[in-house]
Amino acid sequence: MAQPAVVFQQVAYTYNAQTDFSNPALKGITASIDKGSLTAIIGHTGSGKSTLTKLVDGLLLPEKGTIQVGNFTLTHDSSHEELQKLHQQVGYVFQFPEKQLFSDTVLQDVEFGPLNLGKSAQEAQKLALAALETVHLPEKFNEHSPFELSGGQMRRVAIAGVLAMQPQILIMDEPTAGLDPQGQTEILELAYSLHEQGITVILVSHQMEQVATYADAVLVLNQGNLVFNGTPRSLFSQPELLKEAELEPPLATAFAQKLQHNDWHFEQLPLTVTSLSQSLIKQLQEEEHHE
Amino acid sequence: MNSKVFFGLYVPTNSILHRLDPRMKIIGCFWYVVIVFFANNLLTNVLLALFLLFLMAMSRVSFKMYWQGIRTLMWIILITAAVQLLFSTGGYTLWQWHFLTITSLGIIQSIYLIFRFAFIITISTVLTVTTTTLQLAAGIESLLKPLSYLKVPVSQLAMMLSIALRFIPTIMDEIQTIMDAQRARGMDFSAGNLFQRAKRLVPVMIPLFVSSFKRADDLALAMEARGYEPGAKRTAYRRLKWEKANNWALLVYILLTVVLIVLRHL
Amino acid sequence: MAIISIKDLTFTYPGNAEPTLSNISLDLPAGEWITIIGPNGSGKSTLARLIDGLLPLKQGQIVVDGIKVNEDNLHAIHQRIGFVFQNPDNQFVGTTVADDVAFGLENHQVPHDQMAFRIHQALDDVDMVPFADKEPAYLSGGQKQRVAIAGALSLRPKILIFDEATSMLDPKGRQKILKLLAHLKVKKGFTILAITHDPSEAVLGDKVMIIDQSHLVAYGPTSQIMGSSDLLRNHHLGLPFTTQLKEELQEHGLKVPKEYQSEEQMMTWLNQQLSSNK
Repeated sequence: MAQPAVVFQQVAYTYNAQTDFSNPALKGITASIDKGSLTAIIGHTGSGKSTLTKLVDGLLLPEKGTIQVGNFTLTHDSSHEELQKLHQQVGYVFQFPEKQLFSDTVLQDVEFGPLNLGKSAQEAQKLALAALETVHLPEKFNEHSPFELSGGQMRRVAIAGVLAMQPQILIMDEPTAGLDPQGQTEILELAYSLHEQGITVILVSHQMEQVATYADAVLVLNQGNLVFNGTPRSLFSQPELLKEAELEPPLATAFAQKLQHNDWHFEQLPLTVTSLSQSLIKQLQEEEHHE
Repeated sequence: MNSKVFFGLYVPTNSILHRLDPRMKIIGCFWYVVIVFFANNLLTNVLLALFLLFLMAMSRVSFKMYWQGIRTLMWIILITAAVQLLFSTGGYTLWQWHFLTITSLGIIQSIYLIFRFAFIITISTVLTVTTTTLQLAAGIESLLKPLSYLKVPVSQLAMMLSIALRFIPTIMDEIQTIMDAQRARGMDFSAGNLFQRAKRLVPVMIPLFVSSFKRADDLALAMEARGYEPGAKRTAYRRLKWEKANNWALLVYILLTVVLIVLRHL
Repeated sequence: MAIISIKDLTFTYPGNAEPTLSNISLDLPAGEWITIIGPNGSGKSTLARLIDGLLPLKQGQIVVDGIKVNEDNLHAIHQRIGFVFQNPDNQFVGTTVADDVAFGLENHQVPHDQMAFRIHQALDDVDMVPFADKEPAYLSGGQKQRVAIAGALSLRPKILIFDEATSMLDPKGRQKILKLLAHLKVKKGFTILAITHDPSEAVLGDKVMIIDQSHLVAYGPTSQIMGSSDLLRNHHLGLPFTTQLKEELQEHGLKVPKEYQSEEQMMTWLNQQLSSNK
């Protein structure tokens, strides 16, 4: 059994609680996220995904229940100091993270996080340079203003700003939104390589192809409830559950399901185009051998 | 929508007050604030309080909402009242220390001051909880219309006002997101002295400016694509119609003023 | 007949050394859905804005529905082209849904007594009538984009331009908008010009053009452009699902059709392969 990085116990959260505008976002979530995994959190808009990830980084405190993150236990009355320390362990890449850039130079912006954690100027610079290398930003940009860069480059600077804090858990909220296909692949490959280095990556995504290709575990939220916790393979072989959560399977899976009605057989439904094509080729060749 | 709930937010109870013309409500609110300063004795203050209670009941908005409005500004009210109390002279002197005195008249005046504050905050809340920002903007535009003869660009100002109102919730959400993002990067907004705290606004204000400029740019382009030209002639979708009920409201205000003047001299 | 005709268009942003668009000449037929694809920063949005007269044209000529795009004709051009931008929030001008649709009508001096009807009609076309009095803060991104489309429709344009209008929406919101586009094209005969990064969206139209590094590098029927994995990969573009599948099958030595295949076509073709092997 893998060790958990995050454990949710009966976690509930309501926005504007005790007012006429109260709006329950999470209704008692119990789940865990394995250490070192790349876990996707999916669900349609308003299902509670962002609320859940904000709770992991202590940006919101649970109304009920507890969240175990590393050695920290977060409850409704967790102390301010504790939350401050939590930010060292958890990195959070917000949606459109380039919006948080503010410094005069790229390097200074990336140093901001480490300096906040109390690192010396030297250490902060070292960490920043390493993080910028991780996101493959050419060194010549280090002294540029972040606002002179292209959208995709700004996003990588923003991600470097989070990585420079050396988080053990990295939350990425729709990190590919608004990028072109090439930019999307670069960011996903980056997330995957961080996961391979042992960082627990929590990926919020709307794109099932991303989940099928990169994630090893999935949490599905629907109207504030956890409706699934397991592997992408097991999730995408449950059409009723997907339908109920208003989600579509990856295209390759849906295509294979349709092919099953016409003499094609899949022992395991393919999740990606590559596995689909391999399975199709195999079946075509088998038919030839029968002759 | 996860933004905080503010006092003075529009509450759609569809009362008689909601249906009044916004111009009537704006003038009424303004006039009430003026006559508050003419209330000089117990009777006049009681009259104004009763009138206000009457409006609050008519609005069908819970008294809790109104109380929140006063509570938010409580400190300002109390500090101003304390200053009034300690620095005013007249009547019997009850207590003295260097230049600070508490006199009987000072006590009475600071009590009236508290009432005035409460009256003004509450009447403004009555206006905002019963009138949508849209109607407020339309009302203000209509009331300012005469100024356009003096070459004041009233319709452009009104457009600016309505866009500003439209984007307040969006910008509040944006500030929250930027603050969350910087908190996640280890920034502690609450620690340190006032100067240190002010310095911490930089990582919030710069991203906010950058995104607001981008937003303004986008918006200007979208408005141009939809045929907007500053200063050009436009027709109006929203038209204010002065219905009969407003005449009654006007009459009530005149009566209130007359009674107040009479009571002043008692 | 061409509804948009572009001749020798070159555009350079002030202060830039390199042109954003170089030497573009192109005729777009009326009543078709044309998709523009290309990497970020290739000049797609600039082209769309030039067509709507939102940027000053210096070199070359654009004619929209018989009217030359220049300073004097902007009002007529804006009336003929409905433009929907990427960010749902930054194009919502009105304080409520109805007021936002009214904004364009007010600008074009539509008489007050026609407004209510035209607002209702436009909102009905995008399925947003029940939201007429709602404020934007209570709408999802997809709903805001539908209001933006209603705002465009209320002016009864001939051309609709969508500049990555679905890129900030969730899958459900995106699907709804795309269905709406298909419906508008068929039922009302609009010419649609849509910029996108999403290959699954690019296959929906009649024609596709690729713009890369300021040049128009390909323009043709969707079946031709979106079926060619080499062409798309050369310009760092995403491949539609069936084209990806074709590419992988081809790598295994299978002889695949050259044209773009819809999912149904692909399935029929695969079934044929299977039965011919039997």
